[in-house]
Amino acid sequence: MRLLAAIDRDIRFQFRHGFYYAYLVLTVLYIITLRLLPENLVHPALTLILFTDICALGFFFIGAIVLLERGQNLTQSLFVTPLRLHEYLLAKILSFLFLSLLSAFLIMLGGSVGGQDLLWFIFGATMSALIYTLFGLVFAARAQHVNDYFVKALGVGLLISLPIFAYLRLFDTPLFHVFPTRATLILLDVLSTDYTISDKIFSVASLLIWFIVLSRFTYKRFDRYVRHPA
Amino acid sequence: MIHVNDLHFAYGSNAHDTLKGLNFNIDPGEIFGFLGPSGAGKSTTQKILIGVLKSYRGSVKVNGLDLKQLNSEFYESIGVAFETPNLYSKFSALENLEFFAQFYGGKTRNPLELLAAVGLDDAAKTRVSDFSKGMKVRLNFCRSLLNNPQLLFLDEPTAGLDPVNLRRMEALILAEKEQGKTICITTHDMHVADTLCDRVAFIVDGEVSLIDSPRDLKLQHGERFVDIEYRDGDSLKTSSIAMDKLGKNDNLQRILAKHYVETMHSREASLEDVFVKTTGRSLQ
Repeated sequence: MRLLAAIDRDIRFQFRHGFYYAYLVLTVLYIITLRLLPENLVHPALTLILFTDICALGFFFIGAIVLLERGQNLTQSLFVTPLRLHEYLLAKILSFLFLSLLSAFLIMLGGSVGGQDLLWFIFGATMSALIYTLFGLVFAARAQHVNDYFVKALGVGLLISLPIFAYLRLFDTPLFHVFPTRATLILLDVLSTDYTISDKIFSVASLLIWFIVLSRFTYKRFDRYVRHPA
Repeated sequence: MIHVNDLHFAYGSNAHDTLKGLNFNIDPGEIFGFLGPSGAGKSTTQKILIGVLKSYRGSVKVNGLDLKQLNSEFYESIGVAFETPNLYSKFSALENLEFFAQFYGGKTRNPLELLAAVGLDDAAKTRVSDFSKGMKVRLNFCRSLLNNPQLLFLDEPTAGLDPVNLRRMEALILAEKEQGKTICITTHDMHVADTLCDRVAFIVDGEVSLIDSPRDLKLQHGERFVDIEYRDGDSLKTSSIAMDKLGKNDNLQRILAKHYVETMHSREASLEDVFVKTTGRSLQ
C-alpha cells in the first residue's frame, strides 16, 4: 500500500514537472526518425535510441527529481512517516521504469519494430532502465546542486557507455564484459542480431549482479546521506 | 514519555559537540518547550528525538524503549512539523494531505476537517506553490496531525503566522494537549513558550541551563511589588507597593479610596528576562 502510494505520487510528480510531455515529444520524434530510415538501419537505430535515451532517462533525471524533493524539504518529511527507505527507492526506480517502458513500447509500435527474442529484449530494456536509475541515485544521494550532480554523473555515464565502441565495431576489449552496458547493448540488439545463448545468459547474469550490487550501494548511500544525514 | 541522559552529538567529523550532555525528561500529556536562540541546538535535539540523527552518544528512551532500537513503526505514533514547511508545491493542499495519509497503517484524520481547523478549507484545492508562508506553516501542522499521533514534535510552529492565525494555532496546540497528547515544541519565541508550555528548557550552545514551568520561573525571578498608575487631579502618578501584606497597606488603601486607578501590574519577570539572566544570552 505504501509502495503503491509512493509510486503513484512519483509518477504524478514527474507528470506535473513536465517529464511526460517532454518524452511524448521525443517519442514522436523518434517514431518519425525510425519511419524515415532505410529498413536495414531501423533496428540499430532503435538500439541506440533506447540505449542512449529511453532506457537512460532515469539516469539523467533522477538527480533533478531528488534535488527537487530536497529543495521542497520533502525527503525530510517522508522519512518521518512509516515509509521505508527501500519503498522510497523502489518507487523512484519503478516510476522511471514505467516511463521508459511506455516510451519504448510506443516507439516500437509507431516505428513498426519487432522480431524474435522479444523476451530477451524486454528483459534487457527493463534491467537497463533500472540500473541506469540506480547509477543516478548513487550520485544524487550526495549531490547538493543539479550542476554538481550532472558533472559527476555525466563522467561516470560516459565511462560506463564505452562498450558502445564495441557495438559500433570500432574498438573491443574483454574488459567491456565487466560493464553493465555491454550486456544492455547485447540484449537491446537481439531483435536484429543472432547472439549465442551463452552471450544472452551471460548478459542477463551480468545485469542481475549489477542490479543487486547497485541496489545495496544505493540503499547505504541514501541511508547515510539522505535519511540520517549528520 | 521521553527520557534523555547525557546526550552528546557532533555533526560529521566536527571535533566540537553541538549538544554537550543534555539531560531531561518529557512527561506524558505535557507541552515541553526548548527555548533558545538560533543555533543553540534545539532543532538538533528534536532531530535526534524523531530518529533522523542517529550517531548520538548517551541514552534516549521513548516509552521505555531505546530510540536506536525503534523501527519505522515508531513513525505510526509520532507527528512532526519541521520549521521549514515540507510539502509538494505542485500539488494542492488536499492532495498533499491525502498522499501522506496513505503511509499510515492506522486510521487517519479527515484532511478536510484538519484544513478547516486551520482556516484553509477554502484553499483545499489550491496548489501549495500559491500559498503564503503562513498558509504553508498551517498546512504543515495539518500534515503532522494526520495519523492522530500521541507524540507531536513542532519546530517553530508559529513562525510566519499573522496574529489571528497565531492565536488559532495556539488554541489548536492546546486542544491537542487536552486530548492527552505529549507535545515537544522548539522555539525562540518567548510568547509561544510562555503561552503554551507546561515546562521549558533553556538551551544555549548545546547545553540545557534550566528546566522549569514558565510561571514558576517568572515568579522566582520577579520582584514582589505591584506597580500602580493612577490619576491625581490632572496628573498621572505611579506608586510601587510591596505585595507582602498588601491588604493592610495604607498607601494602597488610600490610592484605591481616593484616586482613579488606570493600571495595576505585579512585577514578575518576563520569560525573556529570566532567559537573559540565566544564560547571559538574548533569544535573537
